[in-house]
Amino acid sequence: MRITKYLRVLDNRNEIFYEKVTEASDQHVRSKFSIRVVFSGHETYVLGNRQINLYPGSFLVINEDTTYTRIIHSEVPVTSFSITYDPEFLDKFSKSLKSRRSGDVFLPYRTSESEDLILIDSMYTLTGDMEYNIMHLKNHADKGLTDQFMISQYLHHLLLNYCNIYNDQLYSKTSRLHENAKNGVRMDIIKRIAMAKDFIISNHEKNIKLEDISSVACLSVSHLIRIFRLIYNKSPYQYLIQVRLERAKYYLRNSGSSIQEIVNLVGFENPSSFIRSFRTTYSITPGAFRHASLN
Amino acid sequence: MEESYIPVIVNKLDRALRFFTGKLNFIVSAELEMLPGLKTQVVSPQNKSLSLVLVESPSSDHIYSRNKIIIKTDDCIRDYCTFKKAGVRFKSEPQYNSAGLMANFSDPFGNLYALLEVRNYKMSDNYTQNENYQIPAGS
Repeated sequence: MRITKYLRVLDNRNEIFYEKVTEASDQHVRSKFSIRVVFSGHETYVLGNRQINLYPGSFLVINEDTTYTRIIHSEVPVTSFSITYDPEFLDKFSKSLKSRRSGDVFLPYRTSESEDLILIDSMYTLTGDMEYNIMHLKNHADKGLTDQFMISQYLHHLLLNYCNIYNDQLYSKTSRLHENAKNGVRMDIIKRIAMAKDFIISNHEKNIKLEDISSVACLSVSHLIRIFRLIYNKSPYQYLIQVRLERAKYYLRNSGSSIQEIVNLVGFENPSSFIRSFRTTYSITPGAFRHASLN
Repeated sequence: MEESYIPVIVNKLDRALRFFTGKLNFIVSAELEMLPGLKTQVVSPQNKSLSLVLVESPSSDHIYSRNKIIIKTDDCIRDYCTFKKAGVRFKSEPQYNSAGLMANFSDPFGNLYALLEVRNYKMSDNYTQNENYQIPAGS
């Protein structure tokens, strides 16, 4: 029988959790720092008044002390995988990084020495080393905790990957934002733009307006567009279209849904605007793409 | 060309064999007398991605090759951990570069090696194999 659920607790109190279910609801009060992914279906996270939908292709980072509810309510099984870090492991990681690296690498998690950071529970693209390492770790964890040293090495690398992603994609890009901007200003801007981006991903199938996004981020529309472009190299609307197209690609490959059904699922107005957009972006029609991926 | 052999100069063949088979989990290939008059032995990693000809040269004044021998792996961190536990000396922890993940180590005779896991960093279609797909949410 295939395993549908496990919780592996390491000697250093880090935890690895895997589950394949259609229904789940659990509340986490003042949680530990965790990195979370789904491989199929989607999970909903309710964090205060925010709601995040986590789909395959992204990873979600929940910071220490966050209270949230995780909900799965799905017709197809949702495969979720998460790594929860013990604060002591994070402390040790920070020290090892600081002792080996020069320059100012921003460490985007709270430790006993950095409790006042402004951080946001947010999603990031699951790609490159982060994706490779998560897939390797899952393969090892599926077999049990036969080698704790190795599993811990993987957890170390995932933290390293996350720090690099945060620094490359967010922190370094905001350095141009304000002359002499204090760290607090940068962290606050990153937080607002991340909220806007998460809102777009989580609501991509709905008819969302720029005003909705700007109110989520507590920024004026013009300010939102300017900073969003600075960080993600595209406007919020272009970003929304990209998310819809990538979701459509997923359904084309992994489901038997018709083009019309996919158009409705991902939020395009009509098939012709979807097909036009898809062809412009990927230089192939959705039908040809599906055909090519089946072969 | 079908198969290439890379010569590796060692002081003691039996000590080298212990290192390669005991610590790196290499396998000993069939005995081949490639270099007449010299004691040699061919070893390969389990995936047989390369063949090393261990050549015994007891003289201490010969020049070791400073070329690095790259051993391909499908999981660099796993092999790094296995080798490290077996007592292999690594120059550093696995490091990321444009090819993938690499960890450098040496044998007891000073020859240099790297474990390399090649990774495809292009926006790939990996997800067909691993139920995974990508939303390029970043840059």
